[in-house]
Amino acid sequence: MHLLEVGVHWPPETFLRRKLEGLAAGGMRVTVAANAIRDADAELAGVELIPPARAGSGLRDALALLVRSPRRLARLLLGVRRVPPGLARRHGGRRAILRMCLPLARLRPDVVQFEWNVAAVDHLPLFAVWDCPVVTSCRGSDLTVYPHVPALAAYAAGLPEVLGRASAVHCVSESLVAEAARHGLDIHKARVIRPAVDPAAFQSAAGRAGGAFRVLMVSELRWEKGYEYALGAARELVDKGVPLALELLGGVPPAGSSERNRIAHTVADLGLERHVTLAGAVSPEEVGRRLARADVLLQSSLAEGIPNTVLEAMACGLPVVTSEAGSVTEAVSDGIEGFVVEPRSAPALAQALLRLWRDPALRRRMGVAGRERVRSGFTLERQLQDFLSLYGELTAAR
Amino acid sequence: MTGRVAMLVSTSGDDGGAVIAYRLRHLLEAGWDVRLFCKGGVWGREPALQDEALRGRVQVAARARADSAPFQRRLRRLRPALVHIHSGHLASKYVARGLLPDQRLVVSFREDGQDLDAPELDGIWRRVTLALFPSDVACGRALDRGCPEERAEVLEPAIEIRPNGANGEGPLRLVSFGPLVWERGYEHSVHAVALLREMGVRCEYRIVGEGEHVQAVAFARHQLGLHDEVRLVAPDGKPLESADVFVDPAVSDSASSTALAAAQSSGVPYVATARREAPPEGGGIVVPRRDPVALAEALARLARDPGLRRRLGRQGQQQTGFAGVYDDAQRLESLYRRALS
Repeated sequence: MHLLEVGVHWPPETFLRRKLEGLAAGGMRVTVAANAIRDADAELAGVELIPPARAGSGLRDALALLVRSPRRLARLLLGVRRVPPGLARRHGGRRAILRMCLPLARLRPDVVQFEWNVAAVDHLPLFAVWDCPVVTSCRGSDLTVYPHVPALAAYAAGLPEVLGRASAVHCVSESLVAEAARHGLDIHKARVIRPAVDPAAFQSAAGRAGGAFRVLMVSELRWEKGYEYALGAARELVDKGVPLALELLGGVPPAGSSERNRIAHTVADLGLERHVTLAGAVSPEEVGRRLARADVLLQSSLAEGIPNTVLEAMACGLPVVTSEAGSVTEAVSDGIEGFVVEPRSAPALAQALLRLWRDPALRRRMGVAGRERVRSGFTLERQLQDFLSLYGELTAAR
Repeated sequence: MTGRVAMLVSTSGDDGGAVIAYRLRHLLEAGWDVRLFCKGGVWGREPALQDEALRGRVQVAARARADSAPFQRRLRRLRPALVHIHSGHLASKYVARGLLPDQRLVVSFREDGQDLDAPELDGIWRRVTLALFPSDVACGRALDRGCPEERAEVLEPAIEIRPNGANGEGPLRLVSFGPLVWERGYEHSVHAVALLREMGVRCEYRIVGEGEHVQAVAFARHQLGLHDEVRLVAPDGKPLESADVFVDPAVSDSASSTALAAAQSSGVPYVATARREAPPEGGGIVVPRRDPVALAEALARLARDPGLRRRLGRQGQQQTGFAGVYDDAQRLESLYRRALS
């Protein structure tokens, strides 16, 4: 079976890398049509790369498609003509969309997977070109944030069409199925496959006592992560005499963000320079090592699906303090694997952290519960099996 | 010296209802016998003109135009010493027909200069006692078009401060303006609006501006279920119009304080976060940064105390020294005196 992944960065995020390498290892032919290259030298075991279309390649690609499949070219041209003006503007006009789609129109995969609905909306003209099932994924912000942003009205307008035309819609949580239904998804097409980690790849946290209270945050520096609230909580802890050492792991997203500036300003504004470290992006292996040395994982997000970071921390046996954003409660139960508090509340985050600081035994109990929960419901093995089943069912039904 | 004054307003003028109402009240208190003539529609529904103090002073013609025969009859019966027409176009009609032969005439022109295209402009210049312009630019434009310099005066526009809410009715109207960037801290003010709703305080919040942080602010509005209460609007040139309170939730000293100064100068009280270098003094309430609860409590205080809003608004205005409604009304009165002298 040939799987074509469209609209992801190269190399993909860690969780996607694990999925794609896992599928390739399972015998599937996997091709990634990247929309941006971060590291051209990066390699994924068993995964092919199609780089983004280059400027000036449109005519050559169009002629190639005309020779091989004139009907596909006609369908693509028709699809591009139907692209709403707002979406066309976002890409620099219909010609740019055509240039982006042309190299993909000649491919004949068995299944196409869009890992992001944003990419699916961008490639809508191709839905009528490929003669194979198309799957799109709902991960959180694509349903809970972007449709409500005035500047992304073109995306919001295209989302119902994507959900309507996709053969199946993968949602990372049950609650996202309900959210997608509000955007026009027929829930019978939905398939919940939760994010996953390989528990064996994560060391158990040491469970230290005494010393600094090491709190870790791991994610890209984006406003959705609610860092200001985490830093507000840090200030409260320091004011209460907690020897806090808060470490922020994560880089600026490829599309850019001013969040790093906001975090740096807030740290200085709250006088937290001695307690907060902005460590930047580190390798997945290094994330695992730092998790193993931490006391608590803090997640202050405003919008989420089920964050992989939370699962990784749980796999390390770390208790989690998280805001109730998106679908996180499908992985963390309040009071069991950690604490789940209302979003946008620095005092609530601080109170939960304080309880864990004062009670090392509670930290250990919650860590054990978290590790067990990951083992029972969020393993990579199970996730890969679920994807294989989904793709198999779709291709068998053709 | 006071006297009888007739004000004529039309929808084509710049001055809003609340400013006109404030002028009327001020002139009445100062002993002037002043009447307002306006047609129905927008002016007939203007809440600021429903003020008890203005009872019997506002003449509304249900459908008639402000230059129609019924208006003219009422004007003749009133025999005002001075007629103030708040539109160049409307003045042009009166002048063209020779309808105000004995009165001193004051005409207010628009900022954008559109009523300098009025067909009887030269007639207005000959007939007018005083021509009022909202800015030096508008005045200069009129001088170029033949307005006699000795009759031209600049009366800087007052920003409308609507008295709505003074009797506890209607939602509190909040406004913030400036670029939508993280330094502005708008997520916290949106959160404060959600807390106000929980406290039972009705409000409408306009955030005027554009910028990269719009996603975060729009999402906060969605997440907190505030689609009815919070509006994100593009800059419209009159951000303080119809505002009861200006909200400045900045989380950084680098956020410009121009908007705050504009609010103060317009007599709009503020709730603002503390700034390290130049903390705003007078005219509002200062709260800590990143503290929606403190923001909401301060806003609730202002919502429940219209008198405090007025006092703070006046304080802010006095400190900045800009023209607001109070100065506007006083200056207008002095111009009337000059026109009648």
